[in-house]
Amino acid sequence: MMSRNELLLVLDAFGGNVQGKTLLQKRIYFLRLLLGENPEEEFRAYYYGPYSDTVSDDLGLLRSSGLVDERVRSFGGSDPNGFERARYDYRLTDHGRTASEFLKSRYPEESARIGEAVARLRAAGELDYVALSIAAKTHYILSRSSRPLVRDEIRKEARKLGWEIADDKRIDDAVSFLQKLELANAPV
Amino acid sequence: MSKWRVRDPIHGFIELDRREVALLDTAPLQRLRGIRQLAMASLVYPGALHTRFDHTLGVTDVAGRMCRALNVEEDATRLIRLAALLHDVGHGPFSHVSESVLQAVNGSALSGKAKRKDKIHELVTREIILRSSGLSGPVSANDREEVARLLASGWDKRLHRDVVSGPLDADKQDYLLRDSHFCGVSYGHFDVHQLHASLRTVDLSEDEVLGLEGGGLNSLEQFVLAKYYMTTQVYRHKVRLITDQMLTRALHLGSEADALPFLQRLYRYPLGGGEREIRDYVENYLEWHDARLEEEILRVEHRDSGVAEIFRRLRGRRLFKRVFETRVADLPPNLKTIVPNADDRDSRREEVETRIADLLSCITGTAVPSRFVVFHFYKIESVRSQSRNSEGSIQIASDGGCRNFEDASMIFASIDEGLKEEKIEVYAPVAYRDDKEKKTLLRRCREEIPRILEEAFSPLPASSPESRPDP
Repeated sequence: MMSRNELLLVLDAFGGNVQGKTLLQKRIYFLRLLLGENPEEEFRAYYYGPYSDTVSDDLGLLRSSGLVDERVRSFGGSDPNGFERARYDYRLTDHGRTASEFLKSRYPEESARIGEAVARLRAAGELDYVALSIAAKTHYILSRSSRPLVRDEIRKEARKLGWEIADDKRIDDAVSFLQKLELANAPV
Repeated sequence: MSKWRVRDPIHGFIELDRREVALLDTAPLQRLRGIRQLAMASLVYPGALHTRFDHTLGVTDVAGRMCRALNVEEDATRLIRLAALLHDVGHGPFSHVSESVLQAVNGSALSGKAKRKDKIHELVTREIILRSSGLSGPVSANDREEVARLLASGWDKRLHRDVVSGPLDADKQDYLLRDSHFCGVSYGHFDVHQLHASLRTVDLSEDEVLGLEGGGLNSLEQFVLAKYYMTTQVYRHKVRLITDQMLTRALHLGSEADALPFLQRLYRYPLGGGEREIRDYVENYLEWHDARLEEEILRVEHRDSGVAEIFRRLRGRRLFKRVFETRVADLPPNLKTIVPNADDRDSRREEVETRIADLLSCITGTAVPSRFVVFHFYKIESVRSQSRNSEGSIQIASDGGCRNFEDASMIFASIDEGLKEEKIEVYAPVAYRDDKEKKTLLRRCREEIPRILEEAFSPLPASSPESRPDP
């Protein structure tokens, strides 16, 4: 199935709404893992964690096709990178819902797998974009290491990629989340 | 080492050393004089007669200047310049058209990522560099291995690969300036001198990559916009698309339906073949260029073939007409999920083109052969995405670190990433006696072709005996 069609089904499985680009990106990152794929082929280290240009491009195509709406919520001020504090919310349009129903009937097995992966992700915890971003960063770092890492080592590796994970509890929560998804075995 | 100087309309004097001149004098490189950079774009822009050969010289010069600006060590610079000289040696007649035909003819034998359009072309290039007897004199076997490796996946430092294959590589810089100059447009102009003066290496994820000082930001913005405007105004010009699609269809017909042996030999790559078969393929491939292919196709014994009919049209500039166009965004929801998928289009192409041919025959009262009706899908990427490739964005040095270009640039930070376009167009060999006839035909196509697409692309219910399995 084309990746943009998968993205449409993912949005549908999340109830047709996802609040925030970062949240969407990180959810897709974990869904790739839960679907048995290797996200490293698609995701690279970026400001808020692993980032996929494909997801971004596909989202753009879905928007320009009228299947997904984007709404911007501004919170005023700037973040440390100089970006305006804003959140981009994505919602399936009526056409998007029609299209996703069509895809479900056309690709029932793939749709069911995506639905199951989304359910597993949600069962592990409804993390906000910050926590999910830290979890994705932690997984990205651990997956590139040939041995288990302790918190300080994770923090050090994160800094090399331009990420700051200051809080011990955040790392512990991230690892706990990964363990629920069976994506991390080694205790920190 | 002695230096040779060659005059070039874009870069002024291009300096080459003895080894580079010896390489340029080989048959595989000289062959590039016979392959036009933009295929038959000269039917739209009469000045677009420049070739892969002068482009190759230009890329070599730009690559050398970039290496100097980046303080790349001498031995690496030598190999990077060799890579620049060889980067287009795998082009077939009519440049990118041959890539499309190679992919179409061999595509079903490829799987997964190898199905991407440029993969079979990369294979051919690699095999030429490694196996062509014509290159063995001036370039050592070890150098050929290093060049092939650099062009395919790079060496240890990403910086080196960035010079020959990256979002700001020497290839793009030369072809934008060169194509702009010879087409007679200004869209491809950018301040290459400021760009080079601003080049620097940047540390990114424990690697050294190509980047820019902040002072070069505006020249980089110019470069990215140049790429975007050249794409929309020249490379995707309506008539240029038609000539490219006519060529692609002609060569595909010639090698498949017409089964002309010389075209089959040229476009059927021996996937899974042994050393001898691949070497024979390479040596044959290197015998062909634009003029030779055109002359061979137009020989009298091939006059009844589909490929010859299309080439006669191209020679006489009796081009196909665009009879229909639409954006994917304007299709019904279900079709938006199917039409952009290449496998779905390929499996329905024959049906769609046959039905459109029938429609056109009915409207014009003249038989329109379905093999000459072209159902074409293409994308125009957003201007933001023009500044990066699969390995990431161009890095701008700032405050001890670096930022992605599209975030560092005030212009590009404000451009909506989602502004991209996917389009469907249909081209056919029709002729209009007058404007009224043209308007009537176009109106009927606007009314009927969407229905044809909907019927062809919408699957029947699973219980229907005529339902097709998913591709």
